[in-house]
Amino acid sequence: MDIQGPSELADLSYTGSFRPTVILEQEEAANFQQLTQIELFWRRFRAHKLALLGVVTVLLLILMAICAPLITPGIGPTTIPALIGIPLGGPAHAPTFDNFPWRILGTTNFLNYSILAQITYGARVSLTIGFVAAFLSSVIGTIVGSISGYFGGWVDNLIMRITDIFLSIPSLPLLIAVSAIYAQGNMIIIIAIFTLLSWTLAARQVRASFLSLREQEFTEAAKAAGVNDWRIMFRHLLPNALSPVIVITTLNVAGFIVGESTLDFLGLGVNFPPTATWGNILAYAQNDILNGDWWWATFPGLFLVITVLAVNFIGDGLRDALDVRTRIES
Amino acid sequence: MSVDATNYNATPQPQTDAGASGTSSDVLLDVRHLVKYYPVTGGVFKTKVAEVKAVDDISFTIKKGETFGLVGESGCGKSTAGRAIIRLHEPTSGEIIFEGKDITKLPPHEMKPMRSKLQIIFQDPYSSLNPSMPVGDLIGEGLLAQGYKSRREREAITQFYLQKVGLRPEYVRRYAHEFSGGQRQRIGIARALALKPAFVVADEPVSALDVSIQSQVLNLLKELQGEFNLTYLFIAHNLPVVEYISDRVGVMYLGKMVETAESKTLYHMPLHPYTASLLSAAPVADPTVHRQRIILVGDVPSPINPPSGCRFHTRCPIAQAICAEVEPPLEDKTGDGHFAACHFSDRVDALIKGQVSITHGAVITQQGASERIDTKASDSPAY
Repeated sequence: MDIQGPSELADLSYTGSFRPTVILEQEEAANFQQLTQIELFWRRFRAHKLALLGVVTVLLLILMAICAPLITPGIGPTTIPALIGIPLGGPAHAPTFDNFPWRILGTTNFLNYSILAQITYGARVSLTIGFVAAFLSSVIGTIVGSISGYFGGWVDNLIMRITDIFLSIPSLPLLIAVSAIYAQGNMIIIIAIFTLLSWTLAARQVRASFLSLREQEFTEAAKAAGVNDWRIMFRHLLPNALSPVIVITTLNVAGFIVGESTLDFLGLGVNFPPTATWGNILAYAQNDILNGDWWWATFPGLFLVITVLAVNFIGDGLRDALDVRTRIES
Repeated sequence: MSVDATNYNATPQPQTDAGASGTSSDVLLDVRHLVKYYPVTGGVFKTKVAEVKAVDDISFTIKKGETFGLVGESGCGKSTAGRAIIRLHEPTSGEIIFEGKDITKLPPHEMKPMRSKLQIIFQDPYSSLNPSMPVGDLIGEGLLAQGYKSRREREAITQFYLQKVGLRPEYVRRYAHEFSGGQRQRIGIARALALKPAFVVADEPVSALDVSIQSQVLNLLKELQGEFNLTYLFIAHNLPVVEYISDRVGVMYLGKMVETAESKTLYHMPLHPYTASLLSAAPVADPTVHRQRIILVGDVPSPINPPSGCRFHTRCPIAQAICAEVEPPLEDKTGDGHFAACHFSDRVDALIKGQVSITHGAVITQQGASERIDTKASDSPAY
């Protein structure tokens, strides 16, 4: 049987005759087994070149964070150059190849910390906060929103009033208050605060999608077949509601990395010294940029931009790959 | 056809015993006093302020192997009735006796195996197929829910039914968007049949399809009915389609059953003015034919606050004072299973012929197209 035939013809192909399935299995098993859904997903994702570039970039950034000691051997974010035989103090140094790799991206002023070392070590905290908080808030938001939108009624009312409470909290004052009292530079607390403040966005989005999807006839068809609620929610509705969540997640990654820098800017984020983050490098650089020390803010900012772009590209690719209607060019 | 009259009895007298004893063994489904109200909520606390009486006390039986057509205009509650019967929407009250067992009271764990016997084919072939699932999973999903654990077995069954509905078995890996409307509807049919149902609600299964595809799908439904011994509740608003496929037909108006009869009888001798006006509105594919049109005036009243007495009295061409006060029971008018809920069903024949003075609307003779060409020249309206 020719599977490449135009699909329109099949409407006319009903003959009322039936060929035993057994024979068909032998003949065409190879055709059916060709591609699993995961393979199809990967094909669609692979077709998105920018998304692949994004994945490579993020992997390189993670590798950079893990291998920070190898990139700047002997120099940490708080290594005072005098200790490794370089004169102490003085103004910030512009990028230079002298004493490679210490000054390749310039130094801070006064104690002359290596900006390269600060960026590589800082990536550990910044990337962790960005990715973990964005992932957690989307997971929590998706679960809460699914339950709210699927079951409706008083469950929906209760959950939505709770999200309203969370949404009505002015985030910056709360962020400042909580981090001033509890965080004291503790990364896990900062992640928890970001997650707690931002799951509502995904929750409302997923709820809205579920409200419309559960009225679709395919949901009724599943119910008529006796499929249970959890399976309908996660197998039938969720895949159709994920696109906006992916966009929200990618935006959150960027938002949280920058958000952490906001806290640093206010002196309430991760403390430097001893721990550098992209955010606190930027925070310290703010005064000096007026002195013409452009490198101090530029390089961490560049890494931030690259990360945000890469994550957005991955998000685009994921969204396309999850949509079965995306055409694959073979 | 001898159908026990008590099953159609819509009078308020208690008749459950009589109905149960009168149920003959070939009755598959016995719907008794089915009611489905939807709450209308309002105010800050979402309290119930009113009810939409979508289906308001309808009773009928469907015999094994027959097709029962359910017609009526949009919003009359026919789809709601179809969904309430298979408990896709929980009925507000009433009994649904399926294979001698009242399924309305079944707890979820007993209802689940029952679901495979009561299936539904949906109107919209687009929204009824999940766009993110391949066809194999769409059909296999219900099988999994009904305890077919082996993936191989599910796939074999899926392929069998795909072939039965005229699609190729290798389509299991494709997605719904890769198919045309007619093919999608076939997938929907295969999904319903894969669970080996005894009773299938076909909720306007062809009204969303191209006219050229409609007859193919109708014929397919007929063939499958014979092959798998299916009983259909065929919901539609297209009268010729219903006449073609149904053995018996029920007409609904504003949540009430106003007439049920054998298909031929109903089409040739309606005993309810609403049925008569519906039939007169159906187009005839012959431009020379002169038709008597019974023109109804006004809109369908709100099901939240339906009219008193006979619900049709506000638009009925032959309504009298009694119609606003006394609700006519659905009773056997001819003694051979032709039920109608009208105080003046004996005047319907005269109404069709234009021989009775009418209280609402109009009865006009609609000229054939050949005459209309002439009248057009003189600029007078043809209707």
